[in-house]
Amino acid sequence: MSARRFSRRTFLGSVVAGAAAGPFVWTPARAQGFTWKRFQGKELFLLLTKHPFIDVLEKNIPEFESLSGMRVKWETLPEIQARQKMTVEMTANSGGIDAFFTSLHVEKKRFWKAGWYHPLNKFLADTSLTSPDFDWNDFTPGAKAGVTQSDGSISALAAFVDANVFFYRKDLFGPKGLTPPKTLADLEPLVQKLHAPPGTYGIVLRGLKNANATQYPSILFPMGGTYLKDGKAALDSKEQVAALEMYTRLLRQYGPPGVVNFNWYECSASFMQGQVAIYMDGVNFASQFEDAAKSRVVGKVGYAVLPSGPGGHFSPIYITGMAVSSQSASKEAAYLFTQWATNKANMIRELMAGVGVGRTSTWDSAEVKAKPKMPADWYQAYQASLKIGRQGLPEIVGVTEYRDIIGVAIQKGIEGAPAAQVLAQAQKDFQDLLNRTEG
Amino acid sequence: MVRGGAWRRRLSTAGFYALAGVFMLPTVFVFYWMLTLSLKPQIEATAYPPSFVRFTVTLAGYREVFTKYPFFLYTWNSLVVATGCTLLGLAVGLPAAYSIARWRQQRLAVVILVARIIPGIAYLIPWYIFFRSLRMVDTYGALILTHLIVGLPIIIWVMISFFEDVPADLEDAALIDGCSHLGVFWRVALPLVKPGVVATAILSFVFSWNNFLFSVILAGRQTRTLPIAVYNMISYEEINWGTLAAAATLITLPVLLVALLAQRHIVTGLTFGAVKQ
Repeated sequence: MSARRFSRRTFLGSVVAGAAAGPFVWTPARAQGFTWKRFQGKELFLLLTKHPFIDVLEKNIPEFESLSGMRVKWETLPEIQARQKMTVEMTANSGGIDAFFTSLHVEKKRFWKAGWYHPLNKFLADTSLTSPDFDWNDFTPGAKAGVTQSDGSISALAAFVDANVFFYRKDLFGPKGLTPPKTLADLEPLVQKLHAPPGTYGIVLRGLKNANATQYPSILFPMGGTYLKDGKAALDSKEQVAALEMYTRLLRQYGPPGVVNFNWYECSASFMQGQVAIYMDGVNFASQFEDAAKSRVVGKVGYAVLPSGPGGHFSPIYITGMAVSSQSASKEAAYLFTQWATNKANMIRELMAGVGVGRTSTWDSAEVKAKPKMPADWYQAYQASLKIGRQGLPEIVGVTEYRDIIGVAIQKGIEGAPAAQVLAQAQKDFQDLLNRTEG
Repeated sequence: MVRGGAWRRRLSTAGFYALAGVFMLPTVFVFYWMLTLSLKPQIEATAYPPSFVRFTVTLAGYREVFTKYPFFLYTWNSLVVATGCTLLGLAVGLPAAYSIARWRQQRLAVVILVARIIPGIAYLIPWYIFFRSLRMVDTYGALILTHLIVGLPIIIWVMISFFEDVPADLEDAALIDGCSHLGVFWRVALPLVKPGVVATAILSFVFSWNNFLFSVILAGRQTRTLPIAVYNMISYEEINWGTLAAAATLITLPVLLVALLAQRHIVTGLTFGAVKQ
């Protein structure tokens, strides 16, 4: 009797103890399912960049705060200043940044070599950390390749994907019965037909050194050229010579005056002022073209995929992503933010605002189709370009130096120097750079 | 005869103003351009060739500066930092310059100049570590101290030559009459170099006001200064010209005011001749 009573008391006692220990005992079990609230009460600091993607995202950060129960502080600086701040913070090993917006086309290899990206592979595979509807495979192959390093480590989640597309003036093409070029061979005769200075110039592309390096691959890739061959510089191949000849000849003969010093700003301004018939650049510019406060060509711009060539059909893409800092004390919590920032719901919001993203599912989203901000051919050109996307710049440490090297060659070419000659010099400089910074 | 002289005088005055106008034109024109840009809608701001006379006037740029950004906070921050940097710079720099001038401490002067010659970016990482460990990032203190690296050498170097021009006989006279060295500095030397003090104060204020690099790294959201605010108008593949020019105009105004107010002190003074050589 007393033994039974004793055992009952022990039983009751153990129940009480179990209830008291409950929250701790149950933690591993709870971790098996995904929950946004897992790091409730934590505080995150983000270093963001002035960017259309961030403009949209910032407005929704309070939503993440209530979803996760975390507090988020952030600072938004222009890209170059953000990079300076990032460098100082990371070199000082401050641990002050938890997540950051990263221009992978410039920083990918440099930051990776410095060890500033926390690899996300394990987080992505962990079902307790990754929401079941996140779907990594929803990102296009180009977007996935853009955030993945040569050793397979994933440095960021792709946020904004900029693709080079073909902008043209429908109101100039239409009356002449012209259509966007299918191949590079069609491009030059087309430009020639539209060239009617001083009212209309045939084409505009970036001429200024460094800036021009992101537009050059629009001709180089379909021509069959590459930056590297077996790890060595390949700037003097015959494809490179043909591409540089074409790029510079188009600008020399059919570009607006002074194009040799045009950065994206002068190019897009001349196009928006209605002075140019054809412009090839990042798809993101379109939201300015279609804004009546900024552009005189609203509704007159057609969007198409870039022409193909003997080397194939490509669109140079440039990826910006959300990354977790390797020095953060709350990497998992920071990962929740990067994951939220690039999830389907947020990407649909971006696309509706006319900001290009690399998630396939967003393209057919009913919301986007119901209220498109951009013309239908913009969405089509963008999707088609992402499918043939290839990283627009060499994935090396010295991206900026490379851009200067090829940039000078292009500028000299526009001024009339023979392509083979300027590329021979560029090849030498580029190989020197590779010897210095790679390997 | 008299009328001819008057004519000649009038002509030479006209010539002076015409020449001054010619030399000022490039500078003033840039300001005018900035002003017109701040009043134009974006579509006209990017028009080529730009129109300087006829354009649609809009205050949208100014409205955006005040509604989209905490512009008053930035202005206050800039004022606190620039004033703090200038006052502290004068408090340290004037005695230093006096001592260097009086006792010919040329080496010391060169060392101070070296601090100014080294590019500012070289200081950034050590400073950041330093201020972070003192928990001073995002405080006025850190900004004022770092801006001194720009302001202090200028104050000292300009003031050295001013102090050298103060006749030693004047100071000796004061010493003989029983004034201490500090008293000589405070009562005799300093009042005589007042124009120099005003000029260097303006320089130091302007340098601090315009400093961008240190503020980017060491300021946070609460202490961000005006030059960073201008950069907020530059986004990825887009520049908001109207707002940028509006912000730039507003940022230039206080500096212009300070310079105009202080100018009086530069022109007057310099009433030397207390000693007959």
